[in-house]
Amino acid sequence: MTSVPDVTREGKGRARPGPSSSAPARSRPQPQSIPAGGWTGAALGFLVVLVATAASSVLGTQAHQHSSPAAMAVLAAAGAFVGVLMSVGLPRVAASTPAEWLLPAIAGVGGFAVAPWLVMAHRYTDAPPGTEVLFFSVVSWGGMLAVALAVTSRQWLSRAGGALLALAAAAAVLGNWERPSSFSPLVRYAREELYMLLAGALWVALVLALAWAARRGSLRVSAVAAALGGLAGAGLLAGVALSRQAIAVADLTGPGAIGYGIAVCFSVAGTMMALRAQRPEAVAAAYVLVPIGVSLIAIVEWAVGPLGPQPMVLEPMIAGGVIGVLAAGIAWGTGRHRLTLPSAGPADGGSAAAGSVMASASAPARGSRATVALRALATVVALGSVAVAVVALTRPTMTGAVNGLRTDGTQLRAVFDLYGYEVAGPWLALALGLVALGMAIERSAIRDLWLRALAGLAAAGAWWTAAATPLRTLTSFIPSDVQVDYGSEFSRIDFSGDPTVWAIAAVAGAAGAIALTLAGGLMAGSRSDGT
Amino acid sequence: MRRTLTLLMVAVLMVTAVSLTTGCERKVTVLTGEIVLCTAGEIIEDNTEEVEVPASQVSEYGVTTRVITCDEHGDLAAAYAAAQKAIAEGDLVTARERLRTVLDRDPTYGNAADQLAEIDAGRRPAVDSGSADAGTGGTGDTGGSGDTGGGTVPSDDPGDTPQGPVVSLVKWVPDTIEGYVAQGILADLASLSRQYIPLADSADQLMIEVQQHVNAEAAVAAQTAIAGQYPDSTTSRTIGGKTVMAGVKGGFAAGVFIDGPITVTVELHATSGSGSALIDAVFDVVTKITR
Repeated sequence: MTSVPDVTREGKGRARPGPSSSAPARSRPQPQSIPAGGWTGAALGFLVVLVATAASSVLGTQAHQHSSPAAMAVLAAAGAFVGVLMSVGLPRVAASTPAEWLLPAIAGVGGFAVAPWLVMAHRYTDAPPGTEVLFFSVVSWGGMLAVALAVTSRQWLSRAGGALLALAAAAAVLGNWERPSSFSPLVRYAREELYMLLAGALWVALVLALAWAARRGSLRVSAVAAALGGLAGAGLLAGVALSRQAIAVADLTGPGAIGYGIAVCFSVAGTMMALRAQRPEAVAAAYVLVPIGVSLIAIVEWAVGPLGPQPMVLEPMIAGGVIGVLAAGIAWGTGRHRLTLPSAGPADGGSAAAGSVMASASAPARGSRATVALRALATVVALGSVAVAVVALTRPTMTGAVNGLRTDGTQLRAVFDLYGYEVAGPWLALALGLVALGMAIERSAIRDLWLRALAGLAAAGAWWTAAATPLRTLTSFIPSDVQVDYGSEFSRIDFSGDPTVWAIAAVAGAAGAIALTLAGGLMAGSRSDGT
Repeated sequence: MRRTLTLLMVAVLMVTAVSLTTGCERKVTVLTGEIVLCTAGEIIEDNTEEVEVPASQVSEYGVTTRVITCDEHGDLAAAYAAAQKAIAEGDLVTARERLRTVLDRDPTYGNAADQLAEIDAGRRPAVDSGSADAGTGGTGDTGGSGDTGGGTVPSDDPGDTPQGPVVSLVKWVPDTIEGYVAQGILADLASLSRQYIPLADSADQLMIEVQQHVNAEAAVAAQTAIAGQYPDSTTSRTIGGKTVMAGVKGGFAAGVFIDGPITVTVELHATSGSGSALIDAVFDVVTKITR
């Protein structure tokens, strides 16, 4: 709550006109007694979701080749059901309104059954590439959830910028898993990848529904309803598949498939832990950071000895990972998201979470003219940074050189430009610009400001190393018989080029704006401290 | 809701801006034309040019290769064939004269050197039954038919030995390089490559790539271009009279040198970390293959 309830005259008549300040609280459903766990629960949930989602992604890649989409959906739904029971248990009281179980059940059908089915139904033996599947069936889902959460946040712009920064950083990590990379989003398998995004929308709807339920104190009832909905949906999918002889018992019993189901179970359990702690952003952060978690497998490989040439381009990949972690800190490491309850009135109503209270309470005072001027200057510089970054997205940024042998014996040698939107650097620059702009126009506590400013500046510092990561190796115009042989003796593609002046200016502007905002915040803070 | 709309509006504006500025069809620079190769391995004509075309038309362009036997090598083939005929008839004097004629112009031609050595030693050499092919050469066209026209069809069989024009490049990828285990040769019409497995732990792959160019100037340009692909820790060293330009890119270290119209690239990949520690190893390999 953002204001202290007036309890002095409760039950004694109205002391002043207008609605009672405690009315919204009284009209809200009373929470069931599920221990939230606070930061510890959120952190644990984050870790569980991160590890389990990485595992489900890897195991799903292995298992879908020997199973069927319907069987994978059944295993996912069953795993989700067990995960819900593990984390929140069975409800002790019945749902007080249909909204507590009906909407989550419908969302559960979509998020726990249809979503995994959509993903698996649009994967082929070795396509789309694993990097793209990871991006569109995990990272993008986290990004969508992050944006949905950012919309209801006081610091919506900087959080949205942080989410974009995390997405771009994840793309930079995936784009450096190998070179030439198979990571070329929305080029060869655009249709399949759009279906995966649709699946992500269903999953986001489910998480939001459960997050709302957690805020209303009905997580237990709603989560079990969603899990049952998932089972019902998966049963329906299995029935349809059975009628078409598209599912067999063996599809459900393979070790990879069972492992996938177990991984989904823990992923859902971790999600519930984060939701109980009312930190849905921990789920978004974990999903966006999964590529970094999977990349850590390289460390295991090094520990047990090299298993052949190490394909990862380490320096930019590590830089992308660092930026991703910093982005998570910017977007979700400070303050707290607020979710608007359907029955709680306006978004800025009296249900602001504790972090926002703290943010408001300790936010720097608006202060002197100098402080205001610094903030205004930071806003102008950040706006310029965003504008320049948009220009950078449209400018030729890198050069791709193809040299390959076609099946008819003809040699193909082609050189083409990659525009900024096909390279990681300009996206990272745009995200940094949005973060800077958000920080300049939003109010936050000094401590938060410090942390986010340092993270933003550090991300800007790591930007150069990750910037020249091409995000489009495969194209629609290079003949496929050449592209399929990239990396072999018959065909190669080389990229060259450094970040453009536009992108450099955008990052420099973002860093400058962040520094100006921090300076302004510090001046205001010192004044409000009476120094 | 207002924020959602704002976010959506910003996204739409961005997509519109990007589409407007990059929406026009992308241009791609492609090399197109024909390269004429001699069966002896030399590029006789390079009728290629770079043209800028709309991206949608890239697949219509490419470089075709035609293989013929040039006049000079046609004369050599005739002299070599006459030498074989003389050997078969037991006329070693004539055979010796013809073989000398061949070797004066091309010391590596066929079995001429071995046959002359045997004649000088008082023995009668065996007739090179493949000389007829070598003499007549032939023509081929890679454009559209898939006929490589005397070139070697790429193969990854370690036992394969390249034939045709690229045979003259084989000397740069010897079967034995101390400290490395050779794999099969992969050959194209005017280039070949060979992978070696290093015995040392510091590297996990050695690749040598040899390319024939139309002339020495083209080779020099190619050397500069290839060296530019390894932009870090650049250095150069003269080995066996050849300037080796070396550099590093990520885990790769490479050195490139020219021999007339030929570029030779030696590339090592580090087992872990940067390839900069492998520069000396690259120079060492160059020293071994240029002896």
